[in-house]
Amino acid sequence: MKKLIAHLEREVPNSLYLAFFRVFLCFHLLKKVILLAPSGSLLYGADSFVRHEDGSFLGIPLDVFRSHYDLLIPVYVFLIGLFLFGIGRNLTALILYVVFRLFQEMTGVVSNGGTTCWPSSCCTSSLPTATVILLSDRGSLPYREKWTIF
Amino acid sequence: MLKNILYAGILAVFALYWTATLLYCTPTNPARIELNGYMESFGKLFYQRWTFFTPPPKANERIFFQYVNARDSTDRFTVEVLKDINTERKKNPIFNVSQEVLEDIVLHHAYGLNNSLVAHRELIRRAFPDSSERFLNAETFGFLTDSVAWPASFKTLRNYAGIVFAKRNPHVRTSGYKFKIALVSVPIVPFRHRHEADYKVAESLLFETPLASLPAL
Repeated sequence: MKKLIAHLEREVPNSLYLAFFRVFLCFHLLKKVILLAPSGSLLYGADSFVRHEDGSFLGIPLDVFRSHYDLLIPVYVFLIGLFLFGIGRNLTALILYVVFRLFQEMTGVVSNGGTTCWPSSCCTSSLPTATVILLSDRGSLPYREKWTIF
Repeated sequence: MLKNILYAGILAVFALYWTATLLYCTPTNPARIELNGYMESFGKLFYQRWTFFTPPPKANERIFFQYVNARDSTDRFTVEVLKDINTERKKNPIFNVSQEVLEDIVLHHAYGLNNSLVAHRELIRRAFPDSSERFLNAETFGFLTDSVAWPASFKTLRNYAGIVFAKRNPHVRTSGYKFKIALVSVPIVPFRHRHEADYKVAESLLFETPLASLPAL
């Protein structure tokens, strides 16, 4: 085991595949940015109907970042480009990670895979007053027809 | 030579493990029934289920906005919000990220409102441990009647309710109407009953907010 660790400390075999993974990661991030950018005004814009919970990132209120999302997106794309070509090495990777986390915090309302909990699933509670309304045939929506007291 | 035998042995153990895992996770089939005894032993040591990591959804949610004229309660209508978004989404598959984002926003805030209500009820229950269920149920929605205390989730859904109203009634002012939000859970028909057209499902009303004013647009 000592020999193996010593060998790995000297050289990393198959390190070429790390570069492949880095390039894959960059294309994945770019795809996300390109797809989400047109919804920027809806997600972060001041005139959007979305109201966000108060929050901060590195001590700065998230609203400050949201109000400058149009500047942040090009910065994010630029960092992805640097990372894609391996410019800046570990420093670029670190800054890109920080910006990635920032966008995750800013875009908390959009599910990023596997994080959504439904009230009727196991990980989110529902009110004890939640009641079965009635049995319905498939496809129909009886609640639509059911009006409670006004 | 010894090294090669060792590598082949390790590979064989892993191959056996992967095969057993695949067989163990498959639905009931003749091979699995035949090896049921072995599968039970395997399960005792290496229990696993895909559902262990990702429980499958048991129900679909429906978000209803119900609008009523503030002066005439017979003038009212209901909109199932997600259905409308879904219809738009199907019109332009693949390039429908904006509808996907909108759906995520609405769902996220509906779940958020549900969680706020659950948390608020728990707060009241702790503050007044001797209170009756009736009192708790009445007070749970109390904070939604005061606009200062509205959580972000309710504010967002209220704003969206105003947009939906304006889309359907472009010439009517929102100030004349009130609205409420209902979250309804519709169980997914079990796979084995998928062909039964008359299979009944029990809808659950998760919450229904008190009437509130619509935002001015």
